[in-house]
Amino acid sequence: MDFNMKHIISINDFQREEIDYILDQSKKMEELPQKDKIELFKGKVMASLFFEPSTRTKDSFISACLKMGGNHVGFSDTSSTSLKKGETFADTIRMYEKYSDILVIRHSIEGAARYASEILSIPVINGGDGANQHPTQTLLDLYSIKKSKGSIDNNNILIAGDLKYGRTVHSLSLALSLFDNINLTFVSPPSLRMPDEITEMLRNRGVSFSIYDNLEEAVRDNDIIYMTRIQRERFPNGA
Amino acid sequence: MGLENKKNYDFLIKDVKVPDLKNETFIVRDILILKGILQEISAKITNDIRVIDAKKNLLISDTIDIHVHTRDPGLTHKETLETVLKASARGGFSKVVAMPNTLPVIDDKEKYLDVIRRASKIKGARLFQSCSLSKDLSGKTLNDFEQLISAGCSCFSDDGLALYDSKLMERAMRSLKGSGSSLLLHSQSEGIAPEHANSEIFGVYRDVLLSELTDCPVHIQHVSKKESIEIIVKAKERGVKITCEVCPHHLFLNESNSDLRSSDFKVNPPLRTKLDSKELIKYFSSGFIDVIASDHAPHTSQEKKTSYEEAPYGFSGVETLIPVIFSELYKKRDLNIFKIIRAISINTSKIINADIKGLKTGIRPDFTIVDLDKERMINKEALISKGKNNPFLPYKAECDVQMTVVEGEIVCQNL
Repeated sequence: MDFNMKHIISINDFQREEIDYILDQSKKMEELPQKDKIELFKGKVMASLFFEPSTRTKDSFISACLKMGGNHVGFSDTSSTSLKKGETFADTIRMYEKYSDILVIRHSIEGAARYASEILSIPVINGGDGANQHPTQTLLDLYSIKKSKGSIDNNNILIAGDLKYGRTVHSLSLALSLFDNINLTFVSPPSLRMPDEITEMLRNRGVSFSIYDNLEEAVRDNDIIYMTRIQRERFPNGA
Repeated sequence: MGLENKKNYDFLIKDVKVPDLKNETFIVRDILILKGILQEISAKITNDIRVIDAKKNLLISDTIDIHVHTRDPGLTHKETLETVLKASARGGFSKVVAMPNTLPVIDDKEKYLDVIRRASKIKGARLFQSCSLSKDLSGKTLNDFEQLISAGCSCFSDDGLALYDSKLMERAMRSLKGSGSSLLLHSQSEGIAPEHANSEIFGVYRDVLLSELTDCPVHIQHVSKKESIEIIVKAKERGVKITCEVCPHHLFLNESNSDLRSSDFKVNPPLRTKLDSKELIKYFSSGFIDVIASDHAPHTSQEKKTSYEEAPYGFSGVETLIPVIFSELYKKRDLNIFKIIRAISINTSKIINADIKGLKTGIRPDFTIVDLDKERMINKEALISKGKNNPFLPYKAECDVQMTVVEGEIVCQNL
């Protein structure tokens, strides 16, 4: 197929074929011997601009970049940047556009990555924007499902934990809705249930799902169990 | 109707220059108004009632300032309906749109109707009172739009307390879409100091995306950064129903000519860089900025005299907007005068769905006459507004408002 997406901003921008393409390419890359892998991004520079702190997302991008022979620039703490002096986000990222071939951005503001993709001419990957989107996490989850089960279609998947504030479970559920014969089981305390807008979208897309408060009652014949932690940092008032 | 009053409803204006905004030409006319009703408009009218010689001064119909804080009820030490509506008329506005952040907040039918009733008794500009988007400006629960619209309210805004919750904003847009009322948004992002440019830029970006998603028309208030206007320009080019305003202080004042550490210049959004001002003027002149508004925010001099941190945000400005923009944009920079006229009249009327009365016979007209050749030194003492916190003053204007007519009545005349 022709893959012509330039940026990875939201999993909602993807068609099933595009997800399949990325997962197939990832498999090919994973299977490459290290001596070939190191050629993939040789001579290229990735800018990782973490306006909001993160360890795993940032380091997994940097690790991938290094393994493919690339180099990286960027920051993960805005206190040391010119932002403190009042520099605009647009000015900051335009400067990094000059230094790099691809930009990975994490920002506390929803929409920051999409805004970046609109004003830059190099590809932008969203490393998480506020409580909104974290598409590469979703692609990784899909890849893991495919790798362990051979296919994403035809799976009973249980998703448990904080379903209200956990952005990864929202994105994963919507991405799974693009696949065939998926059964979803959501388990969470009543106060942390999947938001109505997500369940409504699943219903519109004809995905079958059930909702439970209790894990013991819910677990049965599942192919995949997906657990999340409580997203304390995204609770209102930090409570 | 007293004698004094009668005089203000029956008059003949001689030799006034009437703009034809469509063809961008002028035509000199006489206008006869009897009992507040426009009787005749033609090249030459004779009548022995009160004659006002307009000396070929410029007539602008349906002037509106879309962004004014009246402070009434509750904060009347700063301003009252009486002072602000009279100040607006002196400034050349026949209508103003008031923000709802009074004490209490205008967020229900009773409070809305009380303000409208009190304003209707004042001889000054007509008041369009906006109501808050969220109950008590809390940002938590949406207002009962249906009830307020049925009471006559046509504008909703949380102004300085931007509605941060994107889901709530989306719901507000979905509820108000197609209702004929307008959303006036002070775009700002949570978690970033409001003074930081990014707060405005991300806020504008979000509101533009939500407007696009919901297909609900949205008006962005007081754009101050080049990046914000660039977002708006792109959105307009792809057909998003976005309009925007700028304030005179962001057009002409910036860090190169104002002391930004002084509380006299404290405003939100803050004064920006010289480049931002230059870009705003450029985008205004290329037609991407729809409206010029004052964001009239009166405070007492006591309040403004405190330290920068403690001082409240905002400038008084409804009385100087027209003199300042005609002096700065038309007289000094020679910008297209029709563009300036539209930005304080019909463009604004369209946004808030106000009548565009124009000069049709049989109506009670709203218009202003501006003398573009009369110089006037404006100082704080001359302001009718209680808010003397105007950063332009003292200001040597290269024009003056000759008179303001509201519903066929002369509410302000300056000889």
